[in-house]
Amino acid sequence: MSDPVSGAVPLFEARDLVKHFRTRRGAVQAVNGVSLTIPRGRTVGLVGESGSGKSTVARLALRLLEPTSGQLWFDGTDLRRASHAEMRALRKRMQIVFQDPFGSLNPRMRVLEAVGEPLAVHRLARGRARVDRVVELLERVGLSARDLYSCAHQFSGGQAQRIGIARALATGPDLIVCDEAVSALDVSVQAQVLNLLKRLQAELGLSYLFIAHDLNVVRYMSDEVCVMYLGEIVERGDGDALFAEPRHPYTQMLVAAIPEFDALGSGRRERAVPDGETPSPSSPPPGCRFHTRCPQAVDACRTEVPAVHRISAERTAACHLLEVPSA
Amino acid sequence: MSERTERTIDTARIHSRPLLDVRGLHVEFPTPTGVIEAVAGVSFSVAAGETVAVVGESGSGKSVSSLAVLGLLGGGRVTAGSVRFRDSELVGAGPERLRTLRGAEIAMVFQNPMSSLDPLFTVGDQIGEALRSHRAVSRRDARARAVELLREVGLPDPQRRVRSYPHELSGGQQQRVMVAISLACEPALLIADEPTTALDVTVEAQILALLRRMQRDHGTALLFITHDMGVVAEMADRVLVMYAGRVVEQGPVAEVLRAPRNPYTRALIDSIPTPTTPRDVPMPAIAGNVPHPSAMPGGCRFHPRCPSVFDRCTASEPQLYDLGPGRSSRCWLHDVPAEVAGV
Amino acid sequence: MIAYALRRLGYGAVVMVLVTVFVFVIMRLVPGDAVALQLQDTGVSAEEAAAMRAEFGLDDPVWVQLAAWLGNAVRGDLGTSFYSGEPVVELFLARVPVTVQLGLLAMVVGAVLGVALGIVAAVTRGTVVDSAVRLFAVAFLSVPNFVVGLLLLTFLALWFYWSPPIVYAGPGEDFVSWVQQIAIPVLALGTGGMASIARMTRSSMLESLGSDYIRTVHAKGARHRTVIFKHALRNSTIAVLTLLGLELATVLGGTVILEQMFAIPGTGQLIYQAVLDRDYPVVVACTIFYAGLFVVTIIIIDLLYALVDPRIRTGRALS
Repeated sequence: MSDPVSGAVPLFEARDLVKHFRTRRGAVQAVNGVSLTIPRGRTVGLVGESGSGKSTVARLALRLLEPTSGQLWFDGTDLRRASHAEMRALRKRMQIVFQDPFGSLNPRMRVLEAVGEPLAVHRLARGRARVDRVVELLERVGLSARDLYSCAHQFSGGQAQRIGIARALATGPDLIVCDEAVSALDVSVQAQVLNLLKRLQAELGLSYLFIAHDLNVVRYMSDEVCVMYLGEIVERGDGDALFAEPRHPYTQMLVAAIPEFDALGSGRRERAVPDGETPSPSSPPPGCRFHTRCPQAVDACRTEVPAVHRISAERTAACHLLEVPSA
Repeated sequence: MSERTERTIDTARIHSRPLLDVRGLHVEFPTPTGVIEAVAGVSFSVAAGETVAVVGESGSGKSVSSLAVLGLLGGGRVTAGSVRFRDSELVGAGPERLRTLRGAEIAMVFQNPMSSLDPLFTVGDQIGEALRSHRAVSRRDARARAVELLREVGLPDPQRRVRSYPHELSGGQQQRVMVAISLACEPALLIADEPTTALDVTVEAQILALLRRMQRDHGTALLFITHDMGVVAEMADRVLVMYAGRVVEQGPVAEVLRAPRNPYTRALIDSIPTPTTPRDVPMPAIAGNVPHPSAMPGGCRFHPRCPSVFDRCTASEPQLYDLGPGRSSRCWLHDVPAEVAGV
Repeated sequence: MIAYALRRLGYGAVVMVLVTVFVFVIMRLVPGDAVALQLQDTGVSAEEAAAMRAEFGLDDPVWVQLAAWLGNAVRGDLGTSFYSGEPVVELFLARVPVTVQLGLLAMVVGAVLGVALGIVAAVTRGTVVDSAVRLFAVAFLSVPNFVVGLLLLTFLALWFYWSPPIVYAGPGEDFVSWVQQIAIPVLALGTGGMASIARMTRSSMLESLGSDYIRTVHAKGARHRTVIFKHALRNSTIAVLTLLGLELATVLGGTVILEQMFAIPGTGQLIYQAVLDRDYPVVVACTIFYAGLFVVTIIIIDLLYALVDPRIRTGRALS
């Protein structure tokens, strides 16, 4: 599916990604038919709660995990058919930033080593040139040459995450997967890092696959938001439209559940309390996976999997109720 | 709940003594590199039945302040100040006095329900333990009460669930169990330390609704610690904003959130993404980082990051200024005419 | 839970088979054989030596000997001692209770003292008492059990003019004498275990005491006793149980030397002599006995894990 706007080949495309984990208790269906397209220089956001499979999608996208089935293309290259050497070359162009900045940085490594490691692995720079490149990267993310010889744990959460971002930028990627990259940060620092990510996108023409559980953050960062539930994308579209008029009952539940302090003027709002909890991915409900918690479920929902329904040019949602023509 | 207006609460507070009254609390922690002061002079009070939120980022001292009330500080010590519960002083109180209060009159719910429950005992045992630590109740009666409590907190099939182990429950269910444990002896005050931070937002909505319902049904006062302003708006009557170990602003929730008087509060609120945050401009972020307790800036603790900083701020620390009934803020801006501050 | 137990038993059986084969093969590989030793000082000719070997089946290939042995073992015949000609089973069964008493007592003494010391150290953390316990533990860890035995013997003799009775009497025959005889070896064998269990209990308890769930128990207003004994200790049990299993190996190994030292007629003494004599059937039988004892204890410990920790019972991973 080429970018409808420019007709160009999208930077990243995934079609019908499926990942089942085999455990002693049966298969865990973590991802069940996810398709995404990420155009150049744009951000696609993936939002969902625990059990939605969004972190698994992040790893599948980079082939850090092998999909059980489905197709992946990066800049036109079929990733599933790529040879070991081709993948190695491609990995320079797609990188990832993780949630826990301290967990993803080796505590024994100094910043110079941590950020310089990708340069070493891909043989991009050596000696003096490598140090220069690392300093350049650090400055780009708002740190400086003074930080070269410190260790990760000596920094605050926000600074450590900047180091992680610098490391991701080292090989000059086109796509960065941000797997809950700001979720572990304080609110004020979160805003700093989001601004940094947006600035880098503008400066370097980066594309992001932005994954988070906070709908507000995903909406702010993304050009297109995909809402995931139990391994499937249940609705996708522009973030503002999704908030203003969520069409899928799960999106409605998610939007309603967010604590809001905008509505203070009218006294404290008692929000509609969602029903039940997300079922386990090892035994998803039949038919529409959301039907066990859906306040609007009808008989068809229990037995038939809903098709993806196109609401508008950029909006789709998978719900039986959307197929019923309104009176 | 919205019927109970702030006016009523203010009246109640003026005419009766508060349930919990904390004054000038200082808490220190020994570390390998020296002593750090996590809480540096915090005062607040909670009246019967009201909900007070304490909001702040990491290093603000919000959790430590609440742990200090019940003496659950681990290695930390209260070095100054007083904590009065129903006119009885808790700082320096004997261990047996504190023990009789904990769980019975003041209960606590913690952030991580999975690690806060003993993995080796059933849920029913753990609820029963809360009861039997304070009342002479037989095992059978404690078990029956546990089932009742599980039903009250909305856990389906309580008869069966009472024999479950913590790891067999989901995060939301575990947190419901924690709430059940805390309500076992009908405490007057419930301290909730980030109880929903580790939970999904839909589960959070359920737990917050549960806490509100428990409050309504039992008249429990709630001291709610969080970093989420939205939760503050939903739950609290009054809010305390903390930064780097000090209270920087406090007042009724609607006032503080709609019209914050302290630059930190304002900047914090602005840096939170909402459904209407414009996407095409950078977010208003607070520059810099929260100072480490061992390297506190001189003068006002927030001044290196403050958009409204002027010379007085670097010289000395402002006191808490009274801005009206129940309203205060710690900032030099309240002491100078606007022109001088250059604001 | 049943599946778990059955799996454990299955593994145990596999281990036993492997041990049997291993021991059998190793003994045959050791230089010298029973015949050579027995005939050392007699001037027997080579043909007669060869004839003796053939009689004992010693010139057959190893696997033939193994198969023959297994076949007999299954029928309860563990062969006859090359040395004394008695059936191994009889030699053996007389001594088993003695060693089991010694080993079990040593383990129990070690465990009880160790856990007690560990709790004391954990609860008085940072004080002189804690340091004293840890020093005490390190001292006993560093000294081999037979040296402890020797030291105890020596100092008791020097300071109290006391030494244990020489002739062994079982607990049924002369209880007081038995206690006197067994006291020092039990202490010698047990103190090593006591030391490591004390250290493990201490660190496990400290970890437990610093955990979130202990904070919840405090917050409930539970008594201090409850916190320590009901919650912290129970959560430390897994680590201690693991250590107990490992300690058993040391204790069993220790019985070989200590029984020899204190003239206690147990299987340790038997195996000691049998190895020196290259008395294969006896060695094999004893080694397999020790291996069996070990495997059974480990299985019991595994089952105890499941009893203590519900997460193991239901098969979920420990977080």
